[in-house]
Amino acid sequence: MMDDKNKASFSPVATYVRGSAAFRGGLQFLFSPVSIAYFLLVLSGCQSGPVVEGHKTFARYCAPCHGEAGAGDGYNAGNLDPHARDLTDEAYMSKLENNEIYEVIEKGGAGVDLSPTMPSFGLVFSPQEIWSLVAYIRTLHKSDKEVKFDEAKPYSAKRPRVKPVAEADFDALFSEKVVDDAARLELIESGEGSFDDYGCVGCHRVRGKGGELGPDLSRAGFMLQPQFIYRWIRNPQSFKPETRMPNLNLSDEDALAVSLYLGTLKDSPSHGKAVSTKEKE
Amino acid sequence: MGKRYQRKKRNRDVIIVPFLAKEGRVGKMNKTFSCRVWVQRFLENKAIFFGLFLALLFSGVAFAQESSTVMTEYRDLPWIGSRNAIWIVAQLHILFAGFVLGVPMFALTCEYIGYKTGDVRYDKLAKEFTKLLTAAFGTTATFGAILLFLLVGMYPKLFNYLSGIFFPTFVLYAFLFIAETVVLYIYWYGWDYMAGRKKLHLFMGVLLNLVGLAIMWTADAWLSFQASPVVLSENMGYWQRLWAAVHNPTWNPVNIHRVIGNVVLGGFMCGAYAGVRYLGSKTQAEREHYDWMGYIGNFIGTFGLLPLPFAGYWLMREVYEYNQQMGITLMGGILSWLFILQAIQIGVLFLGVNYYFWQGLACRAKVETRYKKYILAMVTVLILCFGVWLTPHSLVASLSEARAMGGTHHPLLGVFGVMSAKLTVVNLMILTTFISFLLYWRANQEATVSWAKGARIFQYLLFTVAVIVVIGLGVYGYYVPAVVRVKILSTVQVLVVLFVLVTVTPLTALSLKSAKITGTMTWGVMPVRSQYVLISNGIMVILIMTLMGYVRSASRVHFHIYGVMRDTSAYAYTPPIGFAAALMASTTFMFCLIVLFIFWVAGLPDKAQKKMALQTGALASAVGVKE
Amino acid sequence: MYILKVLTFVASILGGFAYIAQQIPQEVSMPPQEEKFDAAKVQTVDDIVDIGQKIFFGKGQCALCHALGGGTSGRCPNLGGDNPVGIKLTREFEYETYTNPEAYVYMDYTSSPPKPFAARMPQINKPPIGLTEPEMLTVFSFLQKTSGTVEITPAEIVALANPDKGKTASVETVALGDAVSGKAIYEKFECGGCHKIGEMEGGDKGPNLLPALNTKAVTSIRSAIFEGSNYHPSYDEKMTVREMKDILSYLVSAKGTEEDAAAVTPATGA
Repeated sequence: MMDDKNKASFSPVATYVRGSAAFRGGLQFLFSPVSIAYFLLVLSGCQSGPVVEGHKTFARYCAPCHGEAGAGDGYNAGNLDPHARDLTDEAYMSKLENNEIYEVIEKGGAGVDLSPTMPSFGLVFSPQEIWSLVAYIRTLHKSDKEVKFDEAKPYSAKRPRVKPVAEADFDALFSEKVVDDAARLELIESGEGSFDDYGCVGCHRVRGKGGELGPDLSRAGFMLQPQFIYRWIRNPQSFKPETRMPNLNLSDEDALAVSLYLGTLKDSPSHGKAVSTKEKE
Repeated sequence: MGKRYQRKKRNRDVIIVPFLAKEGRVGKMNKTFSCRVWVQRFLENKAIFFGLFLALLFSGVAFAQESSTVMTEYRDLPWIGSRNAIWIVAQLHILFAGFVLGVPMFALTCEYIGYKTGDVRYDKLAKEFTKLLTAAFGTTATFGAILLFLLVGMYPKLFNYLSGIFFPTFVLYAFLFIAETVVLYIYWYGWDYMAGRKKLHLFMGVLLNLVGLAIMWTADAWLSFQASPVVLSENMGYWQRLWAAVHNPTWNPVNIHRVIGNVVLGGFMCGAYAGVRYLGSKTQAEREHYDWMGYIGNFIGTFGLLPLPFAGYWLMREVYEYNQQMGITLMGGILSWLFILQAIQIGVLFLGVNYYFWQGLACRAKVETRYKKYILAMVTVLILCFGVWLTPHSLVASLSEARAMGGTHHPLLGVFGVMSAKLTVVNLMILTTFISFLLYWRANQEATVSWAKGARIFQYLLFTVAVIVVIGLGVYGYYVPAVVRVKILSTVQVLVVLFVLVTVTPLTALSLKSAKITGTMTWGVMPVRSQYVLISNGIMVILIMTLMGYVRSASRVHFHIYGVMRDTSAYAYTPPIGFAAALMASTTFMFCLIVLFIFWVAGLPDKAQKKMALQTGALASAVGVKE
Repeated sequence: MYILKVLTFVASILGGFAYIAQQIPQEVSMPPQEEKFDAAKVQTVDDIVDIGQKIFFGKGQCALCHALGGGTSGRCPNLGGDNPVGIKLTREFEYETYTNPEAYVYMDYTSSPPKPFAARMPQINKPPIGLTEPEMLTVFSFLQKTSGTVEITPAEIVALANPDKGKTASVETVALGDAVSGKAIYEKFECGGCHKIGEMEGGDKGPNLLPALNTKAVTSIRSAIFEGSNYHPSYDEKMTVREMKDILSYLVSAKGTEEDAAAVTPATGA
């Protein structure tokens, strides 16, 4: 600002000058060709494509239970019994083959005689996506079993096509199966069992018990239309392609049973711990 | 012999209008100065006051309502209309308030520089700024009070609702106003008295700024709530509701935008004041002083102008995030032409600012020949950017013209009517203005530090990279979806330019430390046209503010509080822009006249003192030293 | 004097600006007509959807926060797109959302862990929005239309809009009987096997009857018992008309006070 005579220096600025020498030097280095080349190299060469893809999928679908780093400490992990697998556990994971991991993801825990709280993603992801997941999981622990991606024979990147369920299908099924009160009550009981058998309780909370990944279902019967519950369970991706709710491949009757069971859940807003029919026995 | 200059003791001179009299009050009364006498006589004449009071009392009859249980929602004023009256008064209040809040910021800075360097010119300049500020302060409050009365009287429904939510802030505002008055009076009247205790005085200046900021942020809560109300559910507690209402989505963007805008307004108004005084200067010393003051004013205005578009852009983004409908009304709907007008104003402002710097290079530093080609390049860039910036997306075309074009968008120019282009060119204009400023700063100086050459090359590189990035991202923005453009690309452009500003400024300051002066800076020889440019800059800024006031109200369309309280009065419609512009131009002219009057009156004590000094000096030399 | 020159210069700038402003297209924006809900206008389903749409974007202020499909709306749940509330939510829950929004807070599942949305839903039936019941139902019809088919009939809206008519109708058509014998009938049909009334012992399969008794009209209680629904068995063929009257009068008498109802459905946030 003052430019028409030799001005006295600002003393606060003098301190700044001393510090800025290093700053200037740093700036000059940063803009030098060497650093730019290094920067680009680091950005490009680090991780291969499928692993990056698998990481993205993992972060959204798996991290809530298995943890951000795969250590089995996700925010939902505390609600699971048995606990979510620690994928960084070298002792256990190195004994598994790649296609075994693939099978667990595709068929779920129930499909490999483990806990059903691990959902099955076979109807949700494409083979390419699942293999990318496996490739990423392999980076979480030391192993020599690398997943091979063949450029000549790539895995299918097409997600499985599942037919969406129409309201008319629900109506038809309902009138077919629910012939009288006895049938209805039977289905409700079986639905309550299926809720645990299919591992729903791992993500959803009912009357204080269960996971917090998905919505609390203690009022599902009050809130949701019955046909919607059925259609959603049968094919969640038809409503919300990016939902974390997997398609667990329920049979028609099982899905109807679970829908009817959920339809009875009409708790008032802050319901305490009520006694379910199972615990009464 | 001295009888002519003896003051007749008249009581009323001492009591009435103390702010007109300079501290000391020695030999103030000048009989030949009838204007001031008349003003005083008018003000002290009891009969007139009583008459005014009665007039006000009985005018209330005009507003009398029949007693009813239903609250009156609106009242109207004859001829001018309640909405227009509030528009004018609110606009005047905001212009004065912007000045009153902006000046302390740079007055304090000037005073601090004067204190640190020991250069008494800066201290005097700060005092001159503060003189203007103090003179305008009463007017600000007056218009604020008139505005309040009009609001309460003409829009009781709205005011009732707002009071229900914001009443504690009204109380706070009142206390803050008292605090500001106290601090300002101490700061102004105690200037010379505290000459020995500069630190204390500076502290008063800091307090003044803080209180001013608090006042503005309190008032911002009310108007931002009108534009972007939050849902106040019944379950919220009273204070929770108040905070939620204050802390609405556009509160902080408006706060920041106004802080910077105040600096710009204050700077350019002081520059315009200096320009006018320069034109009226009689001595070379005066000319030099006002030339310098004009330069400082322009510099301060430019300093604030460079980041101001970014603050405005942030505000627009918050509006869009809050409610897309409102954003679209502003940018794509009926108010879109208004932003073309704003583009014209800002373009003229940028050209004026740059032109003033170049004139400075030519006339003060006399280095025009060296920088001629750069100036030519900058002018070209600015005009091209200006052209792109004011290109509307859809042109005003007759039916045959539209048919020839194949639509309302011009095949070539229509491309420039979009956000990507506009943001690019405004960044380029900012960079160009910054370069003008740098050229002026470095004129007639040769850096003597060892790393000067390296710094120069680094700066060239930085500017080149910035320009490439800005233009590159601007072009790329055409090919990506809007959300990428708005959230990522424009942010990068803005950050790059800010980075340049923030890096190059200290770098230049450091490299020019103890620089060799290779030429002199001559003050007081600027041509008359440069002073008119200063005045034009001031007018432009004031016009921009009036335009923004219109935008703010118009963006609410037929709501008092957007989406919450409808305007059901006769003035609920949005007036066309031609009418609005006429009203804005008249308001600006009114403001200029009032400001002229105030600044003139504020300068009278100095004038009288000078005259006194001249006359006593002449007398003393004529009849000997002792009297 | 130079001041005059300056003023002339200023005036010419301002005049130029005003002139330019006159040359660009002039547009006046008039405020839209305020719509008053008129039950007589409700004839077809399209009518109620129309009214609902106007309210959604106008008086109801829903559009201030909610988007209807097309990407996410950051501040509150999207009501269309991948969250088709029209076919997803029941009418009862929708009513609860409007009148008691804190009872259930929907989470934002795009973030991990799920967190509540930034904005809080206000009570729609209270000021400043203050929609009436038929207006709220039209809004829901509009939402149903955006996701699928509308299941609300114009007759229901009209009935809500004319509550007195409804009341007299219910008084006329639903005669009440004897509450004491009604209690015995309640036990005979083992309603307590699925229902509680307030603090009374009972089952959990069905909802607690106390809030329903307070909010629903007697006719709808009657139709729930008689015709049944997906979850309620129909007692059409099991109960005599006399028994129906008695049980209804028992239920009406069991309504209790507002506090009792509040104890069962407290309005605390989730």
